Amino acid sequence: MTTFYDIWRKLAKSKKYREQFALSLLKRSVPLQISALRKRRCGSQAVLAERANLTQGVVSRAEDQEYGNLTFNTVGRIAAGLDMAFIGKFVPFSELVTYSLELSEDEFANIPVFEEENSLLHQVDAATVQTLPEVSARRSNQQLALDEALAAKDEQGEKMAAQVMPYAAVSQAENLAENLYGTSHSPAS
Amino acid sequence: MALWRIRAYHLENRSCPIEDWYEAQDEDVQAEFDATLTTLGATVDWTDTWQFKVLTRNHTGLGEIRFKLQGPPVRRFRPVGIWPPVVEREFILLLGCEKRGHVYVPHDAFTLALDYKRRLEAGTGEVYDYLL
Repeated sequence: MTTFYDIWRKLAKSKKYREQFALSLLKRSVPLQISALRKRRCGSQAVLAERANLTQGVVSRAEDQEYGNLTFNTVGRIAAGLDMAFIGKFVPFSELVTYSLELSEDEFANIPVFEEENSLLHQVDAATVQTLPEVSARRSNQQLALDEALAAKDEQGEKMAAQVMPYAAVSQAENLAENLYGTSHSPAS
Repeated sequence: MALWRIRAYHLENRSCPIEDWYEAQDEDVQAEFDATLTTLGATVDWTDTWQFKVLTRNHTGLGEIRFKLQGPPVRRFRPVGIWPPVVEREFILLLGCEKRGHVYVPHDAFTLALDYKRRLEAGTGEVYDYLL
């Protein structure tokens, strides 16, 4: 199996190689994601096109890995049509290697849409309020529920947290907390 | 985690046609090929993507990976392997190939690929993991 160092050796060989590899993976992995998500969430390109307020031809081109000229606007509208977000960010090459090794169509297909995340957040809320009654008045109920869920996981261990909610929900809560507070373990007091 | 395992056929003299072809290419072709293999390796159904074509008629038993390098001029490449897979989600690469117009380079790429396939089926040569 290809390892991190197999790819790293090639990247280290020349700047020309790593430039082309990064560019090619970018232009291929975004259409791969769109295609996987579209099949899972919409079925046909026509359905996604309608939800994204685009033509079927534009969706087809967005799934074409050889195209390479997708615009931010098109990707943003497709993300909106899927009811999820798309972020592009600059990363070190080590992250590119890890990304390429872990790349999988199955993984993209499991990205939740907003309503699924929102529903999960409310489940976390309810479960936490029932088992952890010490609620501070300084935060909104939703933020507090997240804080308490994370505190339960950190202070009382995985076992306790598992009783409060499924591990997947804890992870989701961590992700949400990270977005809210900028840290996954120590919400600001 | 990649969904597919990519392998390469090695002749009885231990040379590997796909690796020899790869080493002879420019770095931008190598990078494009590696990125194509990476995304194919992450794709469940290869027959549902432009990057792969199942060959038919005289070349049944083979499949070609397809990728382009933007130019000018645009260059088209068609590395060839065994299809359908002998082992589920394992693709064995046989050799590399470039398509120039209607001409393939090497010109006998598919005949050669079928010969390698027959040799492998007869127990001649070996298959090893193809490392990106």
